Amino acid sequence: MHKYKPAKRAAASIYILLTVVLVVVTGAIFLLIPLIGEYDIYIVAAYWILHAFFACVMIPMYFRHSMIGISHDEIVRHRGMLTLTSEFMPMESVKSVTTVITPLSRYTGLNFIIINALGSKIMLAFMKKDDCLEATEYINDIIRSRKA
Amino acid sequence: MKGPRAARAAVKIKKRRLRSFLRRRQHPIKLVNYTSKNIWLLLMPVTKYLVAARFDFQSWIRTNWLDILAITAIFAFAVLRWIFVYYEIEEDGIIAHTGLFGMLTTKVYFSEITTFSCTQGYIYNAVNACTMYIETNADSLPKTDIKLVLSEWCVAEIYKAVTRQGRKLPKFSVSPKKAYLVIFSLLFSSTLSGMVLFATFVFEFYRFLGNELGRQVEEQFFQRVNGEIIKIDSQFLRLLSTIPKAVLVLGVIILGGWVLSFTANLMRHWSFTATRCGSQLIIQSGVLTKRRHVINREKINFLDFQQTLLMKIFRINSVTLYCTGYGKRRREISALIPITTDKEMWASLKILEPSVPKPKTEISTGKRDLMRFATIPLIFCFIPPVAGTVAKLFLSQWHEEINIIMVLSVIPLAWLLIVQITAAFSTQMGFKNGFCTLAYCPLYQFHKIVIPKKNISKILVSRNIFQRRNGTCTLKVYTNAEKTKYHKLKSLPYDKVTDICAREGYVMEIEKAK
Repeated sequence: MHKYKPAKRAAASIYILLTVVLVVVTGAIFLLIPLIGEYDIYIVAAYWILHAFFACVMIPMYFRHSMIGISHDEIVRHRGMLTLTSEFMPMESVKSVTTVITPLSRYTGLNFIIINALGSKIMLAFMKKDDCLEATEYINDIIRSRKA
Repeated sequence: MKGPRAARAAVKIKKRRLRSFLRRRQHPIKLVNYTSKNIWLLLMPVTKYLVAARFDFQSWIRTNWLDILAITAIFAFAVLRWIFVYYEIEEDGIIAHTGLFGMLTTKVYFSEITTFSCTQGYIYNAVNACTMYIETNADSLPKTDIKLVLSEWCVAEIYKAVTRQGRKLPKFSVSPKKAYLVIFSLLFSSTLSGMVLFATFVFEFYRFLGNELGRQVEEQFFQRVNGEIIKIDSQFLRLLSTIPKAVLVLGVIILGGWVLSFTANLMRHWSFTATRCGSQLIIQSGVLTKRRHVINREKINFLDFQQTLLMKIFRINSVTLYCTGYGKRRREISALIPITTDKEMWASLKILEPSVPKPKTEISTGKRDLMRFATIPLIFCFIPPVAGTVAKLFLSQWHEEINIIMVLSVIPLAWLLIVQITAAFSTQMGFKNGFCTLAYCPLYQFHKIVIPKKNISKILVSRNIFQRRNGTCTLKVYTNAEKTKYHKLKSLPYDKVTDICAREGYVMEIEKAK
């Protein structure tokens, strides 16, 4: 069975993105909404707590629990933050594979595979580019051999 | 060959060519669909002018030339679209040329058809036209793989080609008893489905007339109905003097919804016949709108045994069948066996689907899960009294009405609580002979699903923080279907679920997997 874990670089990319969002939203609250007056500090505090919870708890949890196993007969995926989920898809249900590779994905880790079956899908997110290409090739080979 | 004989032969050839040209094209009534839906708004004033001008065509054309030109262009475009749409029957499939100027060519192989349907409303019935739908499991570009409005003759030709495999095979038919239909429809028709039906009707009405005109007509209609009701009430019933108007309106809505649902149920199932013929099921139904479906039995995704709480108590059942294309359209349901007694249902199922075993479950929820099922409906039950009490503080003159509305809104929520308490004892799952059985109750309706294992496309087991503590999980089983479709069972024991899944080959742990 081929096992894959999300790329650590993807976590770094998400943190960079979150920092940008934090700066923009905080700036927006202080500068663009003078209507809320003295309460802006409370709104910013609430937003920062939410943001910190997301950055310090949710994202590490997601990366710790995410794991994908692909074998000749099945695809198993574990994921979750507060709710842990295990997914099982028989390989015979798989009809096609969609790969999403974003620009500079070798550095950002923002690569995705969507495995399409009749009536369901499995998305494998934040994979290393090499893992992403390898997994796609492997699944496509299985589909090809089935058709032959 | 010269003279009149040659002329007659030439006419004959032309007629034959014209006939073969028209033979595989849509019914001319489709031209009406192809013209703009609001064309009659343009047509009416133009006709009015013609009548006003006492059929003086010259002056009529001179004054209305732009409108006439627009109408002619619309009709010409419709004719052009109609000409380009046609079908061909081949040995192994059917080819349809559809879309704008026939640009879309779709070939569907007979072996890949999941459902072949033809629907004939009363208007189409008068002109011998039918709407034909052909569906496959593929998620095609248009909503339906092939949809054409054809003459009855053409549909019969395609039907013959589609059902060719079972022509010489024995046929086994099942029809529900009419007395059962009337009694059970009377007992189990729901107000909610009637209201959904009414909402669909209003939606269609607006779609046809456009928003502004629709609103005007609706206002006039309701004013008229209101006037008549008040007149009848003041003359005979005098209900308004004793019951508040808001409550009376609510009562009329509930009763109206129920009557609508009852009538629709009866109409749909009155002439229902299901026939097994080789690898196909042929289902015919409807009184005003006649429907006929040919379903490929090998491509049936799953069967759903549906019951409401009352039906469960009285051991009444109805079976619906899920196959791509069947029951997909508005106002259609995917029935295999309409409402009947449990005993009759099993007898009918044995005739129609002998390979499907009696559902067998291995694990079930029970007394210990009662609170998990009852908590949310219980909270909902308190919402109307709390909301009513708050409303009474602001609306002091409406106390009586608020009280009645409060009681009326608690009734369905209390019913939901009772249903969910029953569901706590009847949420089950299990595997037997290559079939998976899932029993659950999402809201008011109990479902027992029987899926062949090969049609399970994904299994998902999830556990939130509370479920991790009490050892339960939520199971979602995704089935082969055109669109995403899953069955969700909550509060099942986690260990047993994973054991059963592992036994059936659904190993959820990456380390343990092959």
